[in-house]
Amino acid sequence: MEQNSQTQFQQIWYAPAFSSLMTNRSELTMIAGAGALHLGLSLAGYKGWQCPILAATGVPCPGCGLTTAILELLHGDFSASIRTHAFAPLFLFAVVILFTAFLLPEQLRSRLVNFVNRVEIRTGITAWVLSFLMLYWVIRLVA
Amino acid sequence: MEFSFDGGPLGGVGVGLIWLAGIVVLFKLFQKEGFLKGVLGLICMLYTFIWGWQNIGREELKLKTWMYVWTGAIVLGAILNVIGASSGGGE
Repeated sequence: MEQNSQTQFQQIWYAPAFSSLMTNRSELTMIAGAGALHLGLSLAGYKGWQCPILAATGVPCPGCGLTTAILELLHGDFSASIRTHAFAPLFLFAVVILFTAFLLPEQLRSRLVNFVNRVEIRTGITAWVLSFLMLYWVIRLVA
Repeated sequence: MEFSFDGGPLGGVGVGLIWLAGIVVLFKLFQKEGFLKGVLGLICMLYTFIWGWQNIGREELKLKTWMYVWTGAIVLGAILNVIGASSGGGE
């Protein structure tokens, strides 16, 4: 029984969630396209995608501020970016991987997906990052 | 990120609909894709929105109405923002 729940936990923790976003070409195209449009609009000073949780409740979601922080990072203002959202460098890295996968030809893309998949299964890095992000969110809400 | 619906009570309804539809689709994302993708959807509701449209044809998920409501409310919000801005009611 205990071993069973441990196995279930491992299946959740080491699930390759990020690489699965890149597996399907059409899904990747939609994510990269929507992301590029959102970043482009924000860079141009327009409102991009609006967070429905913040809009309706006034409470920021764990990802609120990431766009602003990533834009600050792209402008070279590292300290402002970290103050706005400490996870901006990690998410910028993830965005770069997504765009790279989108631009790569099929064979290279599947090699990249397999590599990211192996890293996720071995290290559980996605679960770690998301867990720390949730913790960071709680701290920001309380502080 | 700031959300502004400059449409008075109508805008308030729009925000409420976006929130409700978003939460329902996010709940289904958690159910169907598991915990990690669910958290990804929570962090980035844009992903939840894309996922909803990609899976709109799956009858068992019953996403169609919620996605139409969500998208319609976003379009309504955009229209109200444009009207609000052009009539000088914006910032």
